[in-house]
Amino acid sequence: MSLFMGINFMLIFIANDYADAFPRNKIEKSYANAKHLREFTDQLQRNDNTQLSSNTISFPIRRLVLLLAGSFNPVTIGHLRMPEIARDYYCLHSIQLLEVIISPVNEFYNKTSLTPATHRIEMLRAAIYNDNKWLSVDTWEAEQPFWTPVNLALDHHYKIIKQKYGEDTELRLLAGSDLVQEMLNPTKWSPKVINYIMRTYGVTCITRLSDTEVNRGDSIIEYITKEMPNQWKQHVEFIVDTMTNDISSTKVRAQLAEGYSVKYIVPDAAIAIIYYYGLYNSTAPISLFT
Amino acid sequence: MASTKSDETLHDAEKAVEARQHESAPFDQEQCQIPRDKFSPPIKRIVILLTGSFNPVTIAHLHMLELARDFYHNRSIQVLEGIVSPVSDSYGKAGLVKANYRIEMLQAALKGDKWRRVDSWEAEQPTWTRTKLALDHHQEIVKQKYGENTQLRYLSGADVVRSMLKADVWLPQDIDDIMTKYGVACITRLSAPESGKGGATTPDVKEGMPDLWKQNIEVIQDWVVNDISATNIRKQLANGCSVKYIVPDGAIEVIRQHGLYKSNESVCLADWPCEKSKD
Repeated sequence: MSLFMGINFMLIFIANDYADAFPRNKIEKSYANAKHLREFTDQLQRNDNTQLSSNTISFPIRRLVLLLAGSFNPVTIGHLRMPEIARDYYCLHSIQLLEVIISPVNEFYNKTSLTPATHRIEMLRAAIYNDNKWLSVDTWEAEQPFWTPVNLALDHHYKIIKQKYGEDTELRLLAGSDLVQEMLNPTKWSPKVINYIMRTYGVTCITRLSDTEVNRGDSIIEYITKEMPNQWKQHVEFIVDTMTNDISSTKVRAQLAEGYSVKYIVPDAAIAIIYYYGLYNSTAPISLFT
Repeated sequence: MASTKSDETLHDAEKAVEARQHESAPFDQEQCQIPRDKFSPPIKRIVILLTGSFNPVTIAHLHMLELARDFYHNRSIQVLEGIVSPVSDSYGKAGLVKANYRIEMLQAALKGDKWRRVDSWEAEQPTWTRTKLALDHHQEIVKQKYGENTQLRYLSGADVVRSMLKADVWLPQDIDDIMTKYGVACITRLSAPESGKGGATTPDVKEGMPDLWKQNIEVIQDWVVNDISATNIRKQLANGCSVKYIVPDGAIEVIRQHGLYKSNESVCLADWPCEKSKD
């Protein structure tokens, strides 16, 4: 009898811990009958599993807009390929990618050969002329009187997107591996800002299998995530581009300066603009057919 | 091989050299070790022939022609024309779509192009044509069009050139003919290496080749890193994924129109409707 009472007390203690899960009358009924002990514990476990508080369950993303940031100096097919790859990736994960906003960086970002924003925007607009259903060029970032880290652009666009597509739409930053590496450089980007971007929006990084400049044979993903604090790693999504493998804008500029052709590397419309203004010290390639 | 034209050119060259060196010792015939009849005729203009399956055509193929043209223009050799010649259906490779579709894709890709054209001679032949025979055929036409001093150059990738070392793929006398009569322009790709294998190395294309071949292969280094493979593209198309900016836009339209490479069997992700703003 005393043993039975002991078990009852034990059950009361257990049941009280789960008082939120179990209304009082059920607990009393359950431990009154020892035969149902197994059912009791089973039910306890089942309820326990559903007791994650709502702020720990991740929000199901169904709709997404991406902000593609970069210098686009000049725009290349590598850049234009990024929205395509992202769309394929997200569609295969049942997430609808509604729009990609292309946002060229401000002139005062302090890179050596950054052409004026007007030219870069013009090249971009010409390049996506036929694809304007879901791609758009945004000049907000470039129009600011000084360089702002991309979180301001993200904040700016997030409000507009929520109005356009509804409250459940997510905004994410889309970037190439070079930009992500720059963002991890604390001398250029403040870690607080990166923290904010990572946690509020998240980053989608499109990268190659490995990096020839790194020259260590490491996977570029390992190389980037090695330097990254753990709190950020879960907010970065890597998509591997197995085809174009990152076209270096530096090399494109070098080729243009020497008068070589960059057809099929830079979109045709952008090439026309480059030669028209003579950007990047370009001279049209030697041609017999002018 | 000394024709009268070569003699004239050499005579002019000699005079020019003399004029430049009028202060130093005059040109000494005995010092020149190479007999005059061994000088190769100076090539001033060429036409490039690019063959392949083009299944489908990609920007990598078209980029090869741009690279080759820049290379030769940089050496004062005029590139008059680029001939793209898809292989015939009897090549027998699995997954090779009909020649008329491949030609249509190429024509869409090269629409309005001023120096490149698609040639269907090879595709029209009843059996597979050896490269040497295709080169012979086109050389005739090129000579008629542009004159006797125009050379035809064979353009290919490093993989094709490496395959010349294999006895079962090429006839050795064919290769010798191609090397001496036409010459080979070989594009080497910079490829992003797989992880763990170290930085990008460009393997020597000419490794293990006889000297005759080495002299006649011109290696053109690509400056863009890419690993575009037609197999990968066909897989993407079958899954409904996008190949925009990898395959020229005109060719993509042709593919979608005829449902090539099973592109119509799954939903094309590019066509998913976008939700409009809530009105």
